[in-house]
Amino acid sequence: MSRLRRVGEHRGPAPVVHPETEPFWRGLGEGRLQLQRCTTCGTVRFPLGPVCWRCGGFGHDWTDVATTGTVSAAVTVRRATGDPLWAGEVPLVSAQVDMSDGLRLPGRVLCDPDAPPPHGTPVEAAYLATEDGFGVLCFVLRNGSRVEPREGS
Amino acid sequence: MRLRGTDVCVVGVGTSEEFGFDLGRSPMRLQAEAFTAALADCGLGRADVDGVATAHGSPTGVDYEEFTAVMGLDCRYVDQAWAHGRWSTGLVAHASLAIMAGLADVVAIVNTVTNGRGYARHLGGLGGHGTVEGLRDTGGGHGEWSVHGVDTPGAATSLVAQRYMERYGASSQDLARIGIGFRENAQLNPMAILRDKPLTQESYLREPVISGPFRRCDYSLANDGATCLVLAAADRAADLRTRPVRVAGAQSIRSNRDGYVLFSRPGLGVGFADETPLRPEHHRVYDMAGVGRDDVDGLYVYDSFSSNVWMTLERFGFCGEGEAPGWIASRGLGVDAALPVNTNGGLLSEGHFGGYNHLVEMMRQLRGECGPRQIEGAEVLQWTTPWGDSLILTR
Ligand SMILES: [Zn+2]
Repeated sequence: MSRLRRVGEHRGPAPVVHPETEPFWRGLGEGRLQLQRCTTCGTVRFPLGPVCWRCGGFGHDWTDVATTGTVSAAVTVRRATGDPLWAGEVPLVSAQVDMSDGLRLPGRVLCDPDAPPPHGTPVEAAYLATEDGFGVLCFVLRNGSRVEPREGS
Repeated sequence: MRLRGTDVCVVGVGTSEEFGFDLGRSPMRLQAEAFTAALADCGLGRADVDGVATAHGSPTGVDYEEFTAVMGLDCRYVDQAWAHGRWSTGLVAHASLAIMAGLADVVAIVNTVTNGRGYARHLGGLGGHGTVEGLRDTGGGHGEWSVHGVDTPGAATSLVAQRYMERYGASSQDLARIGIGFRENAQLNPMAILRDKPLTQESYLREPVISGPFRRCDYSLANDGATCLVLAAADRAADLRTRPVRVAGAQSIRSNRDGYVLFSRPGLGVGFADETPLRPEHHRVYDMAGVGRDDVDGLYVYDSFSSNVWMTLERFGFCGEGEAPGWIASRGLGVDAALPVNTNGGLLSEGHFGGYNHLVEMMRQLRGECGPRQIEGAEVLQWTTPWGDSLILTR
């Protein structure tokens, strides 16, 4: 699987990284998108968790997953009404993305906030680096994706 | 444990003297007002109350043991859920079961909210932003991902609305009709915080966008106020001076991966859920109440965000998949509509009191006390949420 590009620094709230989830965040900081795969039934799961939702198995390894997908839905957040850390970052585009291997993952899309990508827009995973050496998943428009401004976005 | 075969009724309701953005009264004061009003409504005294249940604890609400201590109650049944607005069905169902099991005779369901620009600014301990659940490994229950900039239920729900609007071709005008409809209802409700603020398509579209398709009027209010519902067994209710309302049916929150994002609905494909056609569900609340969907005289929806109404109408089968915007456009939401919805003005315009304000309204409607907004001949009213729980109250 291809390495993710580092496309900037993460300025929002720090992810809560704990021993069971550390490989995910550490992997992103090294440009790898890896998730837990059940050693019993092979299901790759998201969100992170100690148990396979499909079979209940505890065993897992970490596996690289697809890094391309298409936008399921994207919104432009114009006002930071929650954590003030976001005040300097809005407007920002955030999305859920249908990855080519069937998972649906959340992340910002680094693009023009007046033109949040519509459903089906091809995107590619990238990461924003945190101060602690971890990474936060985000997306960039795939080569050739052009998005028209959205009315009232 | 064994349940007594008894009906449970709502026998009294009350609210704080006012609902508002900044009432200058503490959560305890507001809750005491609502509790006192509800007891006066049904003619019971403090000594009659032997159960208390709440969801909204401190600091912005009141924890159960503070309340019993301050009010001088002696309770043998207490329950406290989680300070989210999703427990209205749960508290009523559990209190009803407690009464049926003999754990309590009279249960007061009391809930208070205060907001950061209202009395809660005096209370400290409010350092959190958005919802802390947005930092969980699984993200927040509304679909929040705080590290990705979606750290409030509003931003998260705007993503739900965006997916819906793209999938089914709904417009901002469709979204606006929800807020406008409930605002019109609010104009007939003296308790509604926004009763004097008319809303039109033009004024709606002039509001700045906050997130995705959502403008200010797609968000419920952040406000101060309290509600109280008093429940008792039917035989006890028969001795009281007011006409009781029967808790005829209930079904719980449906909780699973497909329903993780509360303000979405199964099949929409938000969060971890599969994107599928809308699959009809069997809603046992109707079986328990012995009524059908067509018998419902008024619908009450948890409208923390406008798009919740689309999700709920479709999930409960009032219309088909993707048809909710057209259903609203052609039928309306007002008291004269074929099916009135949120006659109190909802969380969007009466105020966000966790849905307990809708239950208070349902009780008053079933007693015929609602004046200009009275649903004529109301006998069966249904409480519903996008995440699948429901109550049916009957006269
Ligand atoms: Zn498995």
